[in-house]
Amino acid sequence: MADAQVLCGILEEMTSSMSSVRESLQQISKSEDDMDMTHGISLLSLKHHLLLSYLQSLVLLSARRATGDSLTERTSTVSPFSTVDRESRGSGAGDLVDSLIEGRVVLEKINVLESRMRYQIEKLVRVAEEVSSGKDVAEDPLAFRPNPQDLVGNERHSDEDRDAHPNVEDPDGIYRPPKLAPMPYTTAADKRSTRQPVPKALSTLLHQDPSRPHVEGISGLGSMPSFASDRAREIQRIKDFEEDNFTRLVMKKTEARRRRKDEEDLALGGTGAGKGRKRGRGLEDEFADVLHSIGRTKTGVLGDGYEELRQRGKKGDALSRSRTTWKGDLEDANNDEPRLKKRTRFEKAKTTLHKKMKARR
Amino acid sequence: MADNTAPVTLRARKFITNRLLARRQFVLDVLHPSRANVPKNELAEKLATMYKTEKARVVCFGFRTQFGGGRSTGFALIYDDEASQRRFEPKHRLVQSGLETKVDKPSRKLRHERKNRAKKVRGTKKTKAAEPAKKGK
Repeated sequence: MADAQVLCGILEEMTSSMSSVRESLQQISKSEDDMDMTHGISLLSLKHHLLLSYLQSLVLLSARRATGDSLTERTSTVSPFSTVDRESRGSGAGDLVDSLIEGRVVLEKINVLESRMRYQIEKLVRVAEEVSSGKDVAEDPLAFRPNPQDLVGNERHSDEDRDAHPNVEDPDGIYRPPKLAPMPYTTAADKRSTRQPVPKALSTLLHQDPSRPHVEGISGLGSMPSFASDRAREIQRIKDFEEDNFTRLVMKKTEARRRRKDEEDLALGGTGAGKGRKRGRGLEDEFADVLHSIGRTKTGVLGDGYEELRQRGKKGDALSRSRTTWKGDLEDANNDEPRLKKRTRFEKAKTTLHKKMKARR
Repeated sequence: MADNTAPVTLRARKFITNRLLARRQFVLDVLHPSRANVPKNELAEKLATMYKTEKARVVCFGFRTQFGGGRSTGFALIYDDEASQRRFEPKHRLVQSGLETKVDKPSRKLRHERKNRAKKVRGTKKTKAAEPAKKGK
């Protein structure tokens, strides 16, 4: 009995809501508003139509269920969902279920798209509400969306082609980047001299390993030259350059004489290091690079090459340390000397740019 | 001691056929054990027979003897024809090989002095021989 009363209540609700819907429909059809939707947002009309078809399929399905049909009988579809002119589904109960599923999926996607278009829809609604206030749309500057083409320089508008295709390259095929913000111009020379050179005391260990027994001139004539000193390497480099470039270097008389003497010294098994009376002093010749590495640091002569190593490990005094920033930027990770000036914002931008270009390579 | 008839070995290294300058160029190693340096003429003759060209097309220059003697290293060019040689060779080497004569000019200082004197005079007033007479010491 209670069920029958509930059912009667529901049926009465349905009839009353249907009559009210009929009334509002009559009102809409009588109203003078233009019902032309072709210039509107088609997404919203699609949503309404989809919702309608969903409801229709639902009603039919529940009717079928009420008469006791099974929900699995369906006609087979040949073409996939995305073809434009596929046939409508058949009238089996399974087809109704399929169309319900379709409708649900598309409605979810429409939801997403609608959230993306939210601004545009809201603006149009606002315009529709404000139409009665008498403000012309053309006069309202906020009614237009921003036009990035206006930000481009005026000389571009002279050419019609340029207006239509703003991204086409210049006819000579060179890419010219848009000039938006000032960027620091970094040359190769800036990058070259940012590091301190390796102290000679360390780099000579590569060639003169003290743990190996001393090897003297086994190579003989013409095979791989073993460089005993920097000067030997320099002379070999000069020779290679001359042979590669088919020239003889133009040198001053003193330099030419020094080169000849050093070549003779090397031919006789020496190191080629030392000049004038300092040649031929045995131990001093062999460690000439280390002992006379003059002018390699910015602070000047530091005595023998090992002094350089000793100084590098030490911290500066308290006053100079208080004047600098501690581990400020990545640029100073390689440089142990403390900076004496606060870095400006432009310099910091320059540093990050260097890092990016280095990383890209 | 200097045996001028001793055999000389020529070795070509870094051989390049330079199509742009119409020549073949290489580094030349000369081994001359019991002689002093080999003259460039003799080297050009030997290279002409080796590479089957005329002696006039072969150019040798830049020879340096290694310490201790017996070996020198220099450069050699072999041109395809005389026209390209005249076009691409520097003037001093053309004069050395005899294809051109040296232009005799008065000294640089004299040329500059004459030019500066001529700047003060307009037109074809005096010949250049007459000019120093004005400033004569």
